[in-house]
Amino acid sequence: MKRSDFIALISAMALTVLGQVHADQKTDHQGGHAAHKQTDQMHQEHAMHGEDAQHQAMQPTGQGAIASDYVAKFAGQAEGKQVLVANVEGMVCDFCARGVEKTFQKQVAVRDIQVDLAKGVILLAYDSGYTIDKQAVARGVLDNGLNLVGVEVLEF
Amino acid sequence: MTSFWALLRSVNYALMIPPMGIKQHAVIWWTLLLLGLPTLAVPRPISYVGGHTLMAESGAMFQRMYWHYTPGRRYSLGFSMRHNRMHDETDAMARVAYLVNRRNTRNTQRNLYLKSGVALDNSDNHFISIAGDWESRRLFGSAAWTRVSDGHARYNDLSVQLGVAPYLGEYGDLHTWLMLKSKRDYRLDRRVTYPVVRLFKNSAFVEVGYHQDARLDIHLMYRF
Repeated sequence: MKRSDFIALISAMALTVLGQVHADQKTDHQGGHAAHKQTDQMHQEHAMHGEDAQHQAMQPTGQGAIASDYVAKFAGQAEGKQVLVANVEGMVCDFCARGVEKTFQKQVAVRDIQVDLAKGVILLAYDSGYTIDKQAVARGVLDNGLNLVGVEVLEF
Repeated sequence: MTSFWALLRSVNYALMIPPMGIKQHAVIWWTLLLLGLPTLAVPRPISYVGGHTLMAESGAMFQRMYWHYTPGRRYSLGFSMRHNRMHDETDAMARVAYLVNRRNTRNTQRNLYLKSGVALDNSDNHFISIAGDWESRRLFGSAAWTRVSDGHARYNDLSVQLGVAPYLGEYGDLHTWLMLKSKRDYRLDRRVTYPVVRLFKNSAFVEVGYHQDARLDIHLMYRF
């Protein structure tokens, strides 16, 4: 390969990267939209039950498809807190999960983290009353190359 | 700047003093790495955003230290120091990796990357590579086609690696992969295929392969 060809290739890659930054921003928006949609859906569900709080208290079991014993166990360690349950795709190895942990450890509002490789679930504990930024969660998941496919907030 | 590279080359050359055997080389490289780091990490050329990855590789043809930083979801920028054992040369290389495509499902992840690097002091020394991998918790497969110009010769290389996890570890457990790796060995001028054991736990990654002709192939990584 000639030097000029190599420089052309690098330039093309640089342009592609720049183009992708825009695409990522678009994805961000879409991810945020998904989080909004999820939040809106929760609001509607809460409204149907006459609940007006953003994250109304829910029982740890029997409420929602992703509430389970192991969420309750995690919540037991994080008593008095709210737990965000994130279902993700692509978390197939310990390294992916390790990146998730490192990303969310940097968010000061996150009190505790638990990752379940087998279930593809990330649990994040926050203080009660804290307004969780679901878009930031979606971004954090995306920054690790994973897809966020479901979010639920439970209070214990 | 020239003296800086000269110093690095001297250090690298010092590690290659002829009376030393491969075991002594390995001990020195890995000791330096372990001493400089709190623990050891990651098979992919792109980490999480804001993540750093440090790698050390030692094979029959090359020894290499490689660091990369991931500023965005789609690319990483890195720097490597490599000693070419065939030509007894050391080079410093700027590298970039770009994630062309990723597809996630609940139980799998598939990636396609473009990678490239060019020596800082000799643009004839460079490579471009197209690499893909597919992984579940149980199975792993990767392939890479690389066009290399090392200042002495230009050649293509196709490497393939397949693996299976004998057990499924939970998060934080020691994870084990039994693999087969196939690549072109230009020292032997033929393709070599050999078994590889990959172990990782937390942020530490160790991969060791052995071939009677290609000798030990060691790969360590640490992500932070």
